[in-house]
Amino acid sequence: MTRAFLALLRRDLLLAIRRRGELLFPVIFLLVVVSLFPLGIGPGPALLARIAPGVIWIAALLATVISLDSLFRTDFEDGSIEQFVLSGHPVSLLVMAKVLAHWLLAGLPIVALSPLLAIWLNLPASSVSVLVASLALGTPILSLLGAIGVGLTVSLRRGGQLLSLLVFPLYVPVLIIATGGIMAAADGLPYGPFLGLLLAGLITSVTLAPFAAAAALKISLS
Amino acid sequence: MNTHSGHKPRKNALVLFFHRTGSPPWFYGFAARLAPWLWLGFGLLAAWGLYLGLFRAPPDYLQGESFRIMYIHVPAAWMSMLIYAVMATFGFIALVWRIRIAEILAMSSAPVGAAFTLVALVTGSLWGRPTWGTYWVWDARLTSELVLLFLYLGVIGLYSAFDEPRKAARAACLLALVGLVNLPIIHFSVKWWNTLHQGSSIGVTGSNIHPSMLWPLLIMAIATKLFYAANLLDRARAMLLEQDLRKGWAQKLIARQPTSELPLSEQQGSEQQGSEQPGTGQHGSEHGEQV
Amino acid sequence: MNHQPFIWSAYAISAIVLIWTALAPVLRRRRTIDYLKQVNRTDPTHDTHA
Repeated sequence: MTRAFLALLRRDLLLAIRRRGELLFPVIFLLVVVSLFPLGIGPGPALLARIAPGVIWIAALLATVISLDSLFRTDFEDGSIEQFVLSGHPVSLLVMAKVLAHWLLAGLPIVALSPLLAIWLNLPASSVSVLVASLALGTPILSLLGAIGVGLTVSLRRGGQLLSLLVFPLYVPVLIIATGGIMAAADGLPYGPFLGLLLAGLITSVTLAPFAAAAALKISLS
Repeated sequence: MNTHSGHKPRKNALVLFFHRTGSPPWFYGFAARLAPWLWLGFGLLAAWGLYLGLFRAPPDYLQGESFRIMYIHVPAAWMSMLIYAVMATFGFIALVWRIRIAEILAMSSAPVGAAFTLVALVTGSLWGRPTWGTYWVWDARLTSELVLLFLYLGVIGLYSAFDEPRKAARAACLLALVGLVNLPIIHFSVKWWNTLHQGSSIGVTGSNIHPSMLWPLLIMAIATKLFYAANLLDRARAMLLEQDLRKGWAQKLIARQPTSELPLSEQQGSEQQGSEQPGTGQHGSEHGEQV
Repeated sequence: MNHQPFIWSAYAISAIVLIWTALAPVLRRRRTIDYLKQVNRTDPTHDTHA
């Protein structure tokens, strides 16, 4: 079973690395979206500092949703997903492998770029570490919950458009808790509970989301 | 009929009822017979509740007359959440046992829930203007209702995106269940987010509710439940007929129908969404029909 | 501030939304029946199993 998981993970990562151009797109998207905010709102440092946690997190949400669609779609269209389901391996395990690949390729760059975004938006230094931690814990949750949405829409022609409508309500709690923690840190208040809640959310998502996504894929295949 | 082991007649009847609901023609007829009574009950209770609420309850000390919006806002908000739970329950039954009528009931519930959510949002906004001074505040309840509306729209949107009805229903039911698991999390996080940002602290229901203010609220609460039940049955009937157009029971049904009054040019193929068409009257007689 | 316009518009909008919600399936069902009747009338041997 572990071999199947690792094999699929390796396959997805290899495929992505061979299409290096596609890897950059979520990163560029993130940078562009975040830089639009000062352009639209004005460069006032105090204002930017106040909105920084929300802006960075919302940009992360958008970037995740956009890159998610490709998570299953090409595999669905060429029949690979069907092969996975027929293979006899637990589909939820295979989903986990694909989600992990997605996070490594799309979520991790977001975490890595966040200090730069913090500098752009004048986020106080005290909260940058909390920003990075919240993204490190939160982006996997986004990938996991998003996989459920992708599983449901992968067989639809305009699935990508519907995807954002489906997953954004699910993302609301993650957004609230993560930005709450960053803002608490900026104010000098304890941020531990927020990160704790994110960790709890991550554990719950890891345990439950793959099964929901697997069920969604089976429905899409039927 | 039989002399099986000691099944109590009452239990047998209930099981029999559930089995029967699985048969489309039986359910179609059952819904046709029950719905008019539910509408009647709704009409009477709503009239009574609104009369008491709009004309008999005394004005509120703090809010003056505008609190009367509560008699539609609060029941609508309650229904928006109740219907989601019921829809998810039907969805669970549909997914686990593959029961078609459960799929239909779940998908029929979604538009009604969305309608109540919309009503709750609009009335909440209009109530907020005289009370808080603005048409919209990001308070816990309104924000939660907004997210709930998005959840409903997602279910409806997903259902209508598929070509095949049963697959569509299964996908939408799974989404509804995922949303149900998330709903308490969303509610608590929004409520907590609201206190964090020191949003409006005026509770829309005020502190102590005088009994004469409470009765109309409870009556409207029951009335809205009857509305939901009646509308649900109507929608289930329409959906069953659309899906079973070619089946024998539907064909036999049509043969017994009186000729329609609609002019030929307006007769179109069945559509999924009931868009408004100005037919030539006859709305009132609908619920008295035998079918 | 006069509260009456708010109360009336709240109930009016609610009434519109709920009446439409209530009527939509009724109209839809009628149209389905009429469609079937029309199909049967113009072509009684029409095979809707296509």
